Amino acid sequence: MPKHKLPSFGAVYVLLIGVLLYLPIALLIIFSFNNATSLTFPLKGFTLQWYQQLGQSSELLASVRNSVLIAFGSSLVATSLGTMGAIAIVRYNLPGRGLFLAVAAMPLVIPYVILGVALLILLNQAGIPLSAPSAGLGHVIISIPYAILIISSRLVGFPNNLEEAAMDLGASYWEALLRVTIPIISPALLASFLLCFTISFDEYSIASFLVGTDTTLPVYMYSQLRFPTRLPIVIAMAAIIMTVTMLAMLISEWLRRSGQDSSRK
Amino acid sequence: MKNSQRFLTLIGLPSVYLFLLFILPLGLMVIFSFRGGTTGAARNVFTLDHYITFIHNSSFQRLLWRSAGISFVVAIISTILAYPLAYYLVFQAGAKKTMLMMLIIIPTWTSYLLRIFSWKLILGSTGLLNSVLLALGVIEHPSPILIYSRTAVVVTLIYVWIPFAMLPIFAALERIDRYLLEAAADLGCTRMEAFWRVTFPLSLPGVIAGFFFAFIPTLGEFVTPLLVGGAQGSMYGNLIQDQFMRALNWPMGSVMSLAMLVIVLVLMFLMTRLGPLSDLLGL
Amino acid sequence: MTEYAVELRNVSKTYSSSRRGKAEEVNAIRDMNLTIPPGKFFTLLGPSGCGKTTTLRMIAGFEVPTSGEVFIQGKPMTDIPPNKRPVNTVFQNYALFPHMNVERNVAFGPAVRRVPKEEQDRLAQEALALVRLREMGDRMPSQLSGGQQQRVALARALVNNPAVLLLDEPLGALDLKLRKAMQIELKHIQEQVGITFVYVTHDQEEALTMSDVIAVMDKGVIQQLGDPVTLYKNPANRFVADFIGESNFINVTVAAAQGNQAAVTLEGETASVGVIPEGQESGRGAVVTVRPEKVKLSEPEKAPRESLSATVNEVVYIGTDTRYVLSLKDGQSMVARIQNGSGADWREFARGDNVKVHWADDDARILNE
Repeated sequence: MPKHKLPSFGAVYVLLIGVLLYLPIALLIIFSFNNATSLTFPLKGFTLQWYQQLGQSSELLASVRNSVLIAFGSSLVATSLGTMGAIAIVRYNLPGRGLFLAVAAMPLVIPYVILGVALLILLNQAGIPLSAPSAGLGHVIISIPYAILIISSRLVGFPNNLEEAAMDLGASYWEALLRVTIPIISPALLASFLLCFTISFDEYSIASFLVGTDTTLPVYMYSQLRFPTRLPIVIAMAAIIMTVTMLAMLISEWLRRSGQDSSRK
Repeated sequence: MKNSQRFLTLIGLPSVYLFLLFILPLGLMVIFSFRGGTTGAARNVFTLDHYITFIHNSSFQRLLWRSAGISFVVAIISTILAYPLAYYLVFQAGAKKTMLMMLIIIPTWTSYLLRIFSWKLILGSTGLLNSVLLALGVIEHPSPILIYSRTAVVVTLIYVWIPFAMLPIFAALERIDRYLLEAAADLGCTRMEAFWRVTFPLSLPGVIAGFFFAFIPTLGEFVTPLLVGGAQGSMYGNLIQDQFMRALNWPMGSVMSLAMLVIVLVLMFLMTRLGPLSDLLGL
Repeated sequence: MTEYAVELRNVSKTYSSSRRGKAEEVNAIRDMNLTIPPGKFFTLLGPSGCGKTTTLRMIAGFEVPTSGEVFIQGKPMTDIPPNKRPVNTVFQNYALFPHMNVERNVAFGPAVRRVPKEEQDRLAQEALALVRLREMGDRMPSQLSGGQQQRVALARALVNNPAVLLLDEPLGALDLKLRKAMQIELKHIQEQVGITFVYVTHDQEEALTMSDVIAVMDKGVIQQLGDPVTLYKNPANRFVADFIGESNFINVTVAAAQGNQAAVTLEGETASVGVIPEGQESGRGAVVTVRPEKVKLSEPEKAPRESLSATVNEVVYIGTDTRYVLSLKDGQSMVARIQNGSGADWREFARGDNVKVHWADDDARILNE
């Protein structure tokens, strides 16, 4: 009988971490099927009622709708601005490039509470009312670094004189960007859009300061956390969102990676 | 010259957006910090009162230090726990590397709020941990000490940051030329020696990046303390949020935010000193 | 009167860069005057950094001269952007558009000009036939070999029927055999199509093979302009003599100079030189240059009166020739390339042999320095 190799220490470690990472998610999904209104152990039986009741909560659905809208809007803006920034950073080495990159990247590390309150002050001073779209404004700021990262990664994989070649053949610079550059980076554009969408959709901290009386899904979820009986429905919603998000990010990653492979040739 | 015109056109729009919605708000926050009050006539009064209050209020500063302490512990432990993960992926995972990487990253894309909330389900009095310990007979009554405490905050945040701390370490390890390790072996190093003499030093920029990427945002963390921190686990970010949303003392909140911003900027400067920014971002 | 295909008048190009914190001005091109006749294969030849690529890019429009003017077919083009010039470029890295197939790549120029689709396809097919890639139309660039990609780049440029075709070291990435085959093919295509080709290379053999006219450049200045034979036989200065083919440079003293001839001495021995600069004075030092294959070696007793003593240091057998590295009486080094087994006087020499070095008068010249 062949001797079974013991799994290496490394593999065991990775497994443990993996369990740790997925434990909370698994628990939530389990509780979304749990036939009880309170989130306590032991479990009380399987039910689909929470999923069935999802459609009846108009507040919940309204918050989802808001989240989808501002996520869509903010990822569109972040991806567009990120594309312009990425082309500038990768194709040009002029004064200002470093500063721009530094400023664009800062939101990656600045605590969201500071971003949230600063924007709150801005909106207040500008007389703009607080609403769901205002949260979208903040989401663009935190998404831009990711957009730039994804798109520049793709750009550097291609020869840097493709725009020049297009101009040599008669195209204006902007025509060259449209006919050559954009089509080449399109997988990255989609990947960026999906990532920015996810970031905005899931974001709570900044949204909590800026939505005013509106809600986004995370804001709504937070407000429900104090009411144990309402929780199972929220968790059912969360389980669905989580699954959809994971699928979206898998697609985004697949797009990004298939792009890298083709450019490596 | 045509070239610089095009460059400026391209960064023009993003720069305008970044200025209006990032730089400008921070500037307004500075201005606000000198205001007398949030609304009404007090708005137009220039004063240093809030700064003075901040400097003299020791509880504010204690909270700032406590938050820095919590962030530090979280960052250190996350980085240490993330390192073997990254190492395994780069050097031992082989064909499964991409798949495992995805599996580790996927949880971070799901609802942040609920993943933190679900730690209540793990650490709470009626939660998983207590249930297991009760069932095993280790304890007789459910122990409430795990939830609503500083420990709960630390544990939860470590859980959140491990995948993020892993990424720069992974990137740094990936970039190490395998021939260097072969050279080390050729020159007489054992695996352990090769690791400490070659691999680890070369991965240090990634480790430092991972540490700061976990440390800096955690300083301002307020959601996790709200959910699992209770009174003991409250952090500096909660203070700021409180000033803006409940106490409505925006000037005070601005002063507090600026204090943290200064610390953040110093830390960022430190981070960039330890390796150019583009290296850390992989550009 | 046929106008020039390209003319550069008093063109200079300077770059300002900062090195170690100090702003520096780099003169890439200095006051260049250049005319390129139409319908010829014209080559800019020189070492890296000599300015040949900068010159090419100024013709294309990607660089703007700091001063001076650029004319294409007699029309001023200095301020005209690249996409409006009747010029197309074959880039060193081909720059094929990776997201389009071969046919779409070649048809790009017509597509930008909004030519109707059927016409685009016809033109593309014609261009692909010219480079013998007609069946490759729906392949993607990544599926082609280096040589094939290079031909697609050529087709893509030619399809627009430019007044001038610019080629920036297009054969650099190909292996030797393929490169030599492509050199001949490019030459044939140029003759067939009749368009002016302006070719940039650092490979002097390549330039000699393909060109009708060569401009040899160094440090931003044209050292000599001429056809391959002239450049090889009558290099104008030391740089050209050294860069094109192989040359010997011997420091001598001019004993007497009259008309075309000079008698030069080295360590008491004399040699004769048949090409000298105008007004060459005697009694001065000079540099004599002679090609290794024109150097003759003789045993001392059998040597003509005008020859120099030398010792053989190295003997290298290269199949058709034997290469001898020699040192003259005062230690100066020389190379002789003797074809094996020709002539009744031929004999093999060995290391350490004492020989006499001589040449036909017209094969040696005194350099204009």
